[in-house]
Amino acid sequence: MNKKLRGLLLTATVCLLLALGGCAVPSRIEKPPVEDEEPVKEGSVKEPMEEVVEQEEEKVEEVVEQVEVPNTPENVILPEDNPPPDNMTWISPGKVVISNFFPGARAEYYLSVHNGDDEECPFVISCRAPDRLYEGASFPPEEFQDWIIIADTDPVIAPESTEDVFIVLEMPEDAESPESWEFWVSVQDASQAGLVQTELCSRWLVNMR
Amino acid sequence: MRRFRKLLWGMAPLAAIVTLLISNGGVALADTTATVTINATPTFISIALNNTSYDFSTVAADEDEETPDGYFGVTNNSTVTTNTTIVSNGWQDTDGEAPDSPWTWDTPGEDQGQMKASDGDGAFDVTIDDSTPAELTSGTSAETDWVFEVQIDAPTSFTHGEPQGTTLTLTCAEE
Repeated sequence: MNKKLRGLLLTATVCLLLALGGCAVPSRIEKPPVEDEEPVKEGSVKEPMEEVVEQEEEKVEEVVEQVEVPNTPENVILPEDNPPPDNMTWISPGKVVISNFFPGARAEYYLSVHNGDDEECPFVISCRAPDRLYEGASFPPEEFQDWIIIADTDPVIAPESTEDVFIVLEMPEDAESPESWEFWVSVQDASQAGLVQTELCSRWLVNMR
Repeated sequence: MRRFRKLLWGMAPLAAIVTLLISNGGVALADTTATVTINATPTFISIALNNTSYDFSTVAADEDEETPDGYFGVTNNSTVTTNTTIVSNGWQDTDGEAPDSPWTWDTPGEDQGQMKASDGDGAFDVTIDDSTPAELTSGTSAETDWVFEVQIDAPTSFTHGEPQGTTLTLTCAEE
């Protein structure tokens, strides 16, 4: 009789200990302290993430997380480093690589556009399919332009000034894409006239996880 | 004592279920995080032209007319190796009056012509398309200026004398 009772008590104790242990499992990435976050202008990356988690056969739980990725040197663009002369029109950076991307994720970056003219100048900024591809990359899915937000598609930039244009890539959760794909962000001086006009492009390579 | 034993027997399966639910939930939640990374190097893309226009004047049927050697000069202030493509937006009837009679952009035919380009060697071996960009230069080193020329392959015959024009877009991007 006593043995049975001891067995029962032991079973109950083990179950309770296991239950308490399950509660204590850490399950989230810790957000970096607010003071560690750089201003967005310097090229920060934000990744809101939503993921549905299946817990039990009949129970589905949706988990939504916002993960702040702190700036690291390779994430920061420094337009003041050796730019072309002020009287030349330029864009920067020439290439952006987004890695570990996935449906439902969001990536943000700034494209710097410099007006080298001595007069105020209108520009047109758009995204488009690439003229050529990096090795192993594919052309973007047909609907990729719906996933890209350009904060200002027709900025008017003061003479010999630079404007940072906010660009967001936000892929729907139910969207599909190749493992590696590319799109270009096009910048054109809208005041150009004549037989030949120039277009400057920034290449954006997206590697899916 | 009997009541206590019954109570314990009843609690054991319940505790086991609670354990299972909580521990499974913990494992699943731990897998929901990921990091998207963005990398960019501080490169600059910059080109400018010394000439943007050229008047071919009157073009004879079935003749090729071209700009002078090195007519279009490109100042390249890009800080990285670049490639350049060229594309046309097709022929436009430029007098702005009806009827609107643009030529067809294609190999020479009746009211049908195209343009070609060369990267400074006068070879005109780059056929300019009206939809797909053609590569004009590749692997151009940083801060290296270059020149190019263009040529009209005029129609073999004309059914009208409406003036024609086009816009050529020169696209520069990192290699």
